[in-house]
Amino acid sequence: MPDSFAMSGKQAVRGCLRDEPAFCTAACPFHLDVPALVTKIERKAFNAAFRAYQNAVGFPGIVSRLCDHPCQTVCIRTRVDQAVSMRLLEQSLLDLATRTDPYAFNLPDKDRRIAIVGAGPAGLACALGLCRKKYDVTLFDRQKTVGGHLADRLPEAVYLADIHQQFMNETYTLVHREIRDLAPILAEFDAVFVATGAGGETFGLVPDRGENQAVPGAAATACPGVFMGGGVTGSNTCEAIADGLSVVQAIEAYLKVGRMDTPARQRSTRLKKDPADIALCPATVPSGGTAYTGEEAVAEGRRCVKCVCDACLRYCDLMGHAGKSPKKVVDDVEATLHPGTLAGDGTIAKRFIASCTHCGLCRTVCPVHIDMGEFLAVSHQALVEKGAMPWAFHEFFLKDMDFSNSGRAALVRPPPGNAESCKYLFFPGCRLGASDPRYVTAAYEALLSALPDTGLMLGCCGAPARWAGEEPRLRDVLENIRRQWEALGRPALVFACPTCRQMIRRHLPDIPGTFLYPLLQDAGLTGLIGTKHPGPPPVSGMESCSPANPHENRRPMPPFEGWFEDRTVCVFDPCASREEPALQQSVRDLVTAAGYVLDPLPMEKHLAQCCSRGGQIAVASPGYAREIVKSRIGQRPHPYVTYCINCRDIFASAGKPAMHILDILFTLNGPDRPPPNLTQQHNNRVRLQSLALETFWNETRDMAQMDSLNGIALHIPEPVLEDLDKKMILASDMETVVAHCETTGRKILDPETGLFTGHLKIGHMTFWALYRADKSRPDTKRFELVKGYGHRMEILEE
Amino acid sequence: MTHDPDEKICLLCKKTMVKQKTDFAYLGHSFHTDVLRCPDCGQVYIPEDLVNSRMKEVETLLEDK
Ligand code: SF4
Ligand code: SF4
Ligand code: SF4
Ligand SMILES: [Zn+2]
Repeated sequence: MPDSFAMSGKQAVRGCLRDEPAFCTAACPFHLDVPALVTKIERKAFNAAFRAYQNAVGFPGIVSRLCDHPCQTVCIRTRVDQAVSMRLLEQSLLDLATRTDPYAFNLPDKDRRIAIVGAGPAGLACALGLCRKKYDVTLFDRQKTVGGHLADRLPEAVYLADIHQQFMNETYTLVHREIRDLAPILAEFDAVFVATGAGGETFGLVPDRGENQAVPGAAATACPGVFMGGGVTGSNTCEAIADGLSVVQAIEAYLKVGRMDTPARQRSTRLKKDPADIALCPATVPSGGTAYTGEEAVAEGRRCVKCVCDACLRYCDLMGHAGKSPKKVVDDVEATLHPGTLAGDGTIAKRFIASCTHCGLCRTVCPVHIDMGEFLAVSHQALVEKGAMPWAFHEFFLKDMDFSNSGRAALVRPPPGNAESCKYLFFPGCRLGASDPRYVTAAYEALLSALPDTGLMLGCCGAPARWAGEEPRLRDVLENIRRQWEALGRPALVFACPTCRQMIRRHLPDIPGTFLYPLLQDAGLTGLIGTKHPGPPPVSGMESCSPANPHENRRPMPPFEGWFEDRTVCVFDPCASREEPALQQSVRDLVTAAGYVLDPLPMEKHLAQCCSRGGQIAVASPGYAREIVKSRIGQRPHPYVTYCINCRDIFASAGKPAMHILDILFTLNGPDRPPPNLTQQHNNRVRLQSLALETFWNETRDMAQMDSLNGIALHIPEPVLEDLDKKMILASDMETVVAHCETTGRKILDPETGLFTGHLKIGHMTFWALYRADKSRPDTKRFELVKGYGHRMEILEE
Repeated sequence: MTHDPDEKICLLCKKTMVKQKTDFAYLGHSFHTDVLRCPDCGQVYIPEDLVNSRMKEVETLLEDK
């Protein structure tokens, strides 16, 4: 487990590409926000789109004609089909917009005077920007008219029309004079912009494009107050306009604080995008030849994929669902961890933190491998250490873990016989036997026949403690595993569950391990011919709990008797198998060998998604957990085959036909098997322990010693049990409550109904039982449960 | 024989329970409300609808606080 607080939020998202500009934007001299502009076009908001364009480029008439559109060279679409034609879109906007006059800015005049040497594109752009901010601008040019070298590139009427329109609300002074010496100008003006054009006068200053180490600021020179840009610094026409527009900010900063070091704008992007994700969509051809109609512009706009890094938001249900970027998540989490340091609700992210499934997908899909899951795990632990994480989010699962590792369910044995140590140790994980004890006994029997030197360890790997951020409890579980592993002579663990594998690899890296399925495959022990699997079927009586499902009207049959019309199934890779390609392949091979046809899921293998069990989010965010399940089971209509029993049982409880790979390998259950309820999961673990002892070691457990209920028997009718399950209450909790009421006499009678009510705090939860005496045998200690419920609040009874 | 449908009897003390101020605590916050209690031993009665409505609301509120 990572050291708490070791990872600050800033560190966690260092290098995040979320705010990196699109490729086109980075290449554009004006840094035009193409995705935003195109979005306006798509909405047919042509006036708004034009306005955005006008604001960015200053002279839309000139720039739309002269820009050599470097955006198109770098457009990611060139790697798929053709670039988005920004040139045509921008030109078309001139016609599509119905309001093109610039806004008049009603600002008070400023008394600072700025001289611009050269009235070419750069000088004019700078003048426009400064005029709009109401500075006192004087343009010097050796020519009588403005425009400079534009005269070589466009008809005079065209560029002058644009210039006049953009300056229609502004005034400046134009002085027809060639400047040979800056000194008199400097004496008279507060700042100077040198824009003398290609080959023009530099006044002995060094032009700077922001890369110059000696003079770091944008368009700065070594002379305070003197800036330089445009053709004289090597810019082409559009770059010159961009220089003129962007120097305004640098000049303003100089006027305000006397500094020349306003950073030059970013000309590159670190953005990464996979063109493989982009669907083919050929360029829109303008029917009029030179410009798009409105519809065509919209069509071309749709081709733009609005390049921004959003891989994590697209793939992570949590971030996507909440619409939170990684930086926003970090801000919220930090505010939650350190409430009071920021305005607003201090603990906004508590439930969010407890809703991460720790599936690891964010890290996989992030081009720079930012691991939000890890950040959230560390934050979770920090919240737990501060006592700020509601215990209720995890108590059920921690109790369940403790039960798995208690004497009633856990077991560690060297192989049957006289051995005290072993070479292999089967570690099926706590869930497998909880679902059906035969998974474990059948697999162990098969393992023993191939590798007789295999011991058995029944228990939980500690994942619930990790997910709960309970570091000390996790340490306890791991220490125990390590001790027993050492006592057995450091065998290699044989895992059935990818999560157990992940836990051990991460926390006990010196324990070697391998997976059950490839072992069975290699040993030819898949039992596909059918084995005499030990033991009767699991605790039944769940038929009435079976959720509605599409196969309901069919008679359940073993998996090999025409269960599936076309024998097509989908392998659902558990999220913990993400980095186990060999395991994923071996499961596919086994399923294919059993005669099934595979239909790949869209999110398989390294993109494996969590079934919703990860992070045990069901109490903190039950609705979100249900949504995850729904999206997983809806991906394909075929039954799923998985190799994590949590996935199998969760899908089954949502009505999706699903099998564990062991169902196929040992012909155990069909895809319609109802998932065991919580109480059955408990009982199955107890049964597994005694079944294993009996089957493999010829021992019987004395069940009587387990009975602490003072001879009180509680009958729970099926519908009541079902209701308890929904409330995550175990039958054993109800038994404990009733036994407590009956032995202490602390119970309440409802004279109207004759029913008893009583309560007991078990752990943090307070449980209530509404029950009646068994009327047929009034003299015995037999009772029937009518209803159970529980609450998290504590009653302060004293 | 008819009963007050809301009548509850503490079987430990054989007393009819009465509404009384009762303190509750959750996640470091405490608050109180009136619920049925035994006038002798103080045993509390909380019906499920109270759990599902007001108590649930307060629990959620405090968890998100
Ligand atoms: S697809 Fe759109 S956002 Fe991406 S580079 Fe091309 S024009 Fe720019
Ligand atoms: S995938 Fe998400 S976390 Fe990674 S760089 Fe992109 S926006 Fe940032
Ligand atoms: S680990 Fe999974 S659920 Fe958690 S933030 Fe990453 S992608 Fe989302
Ligand atoms: Zn009493």
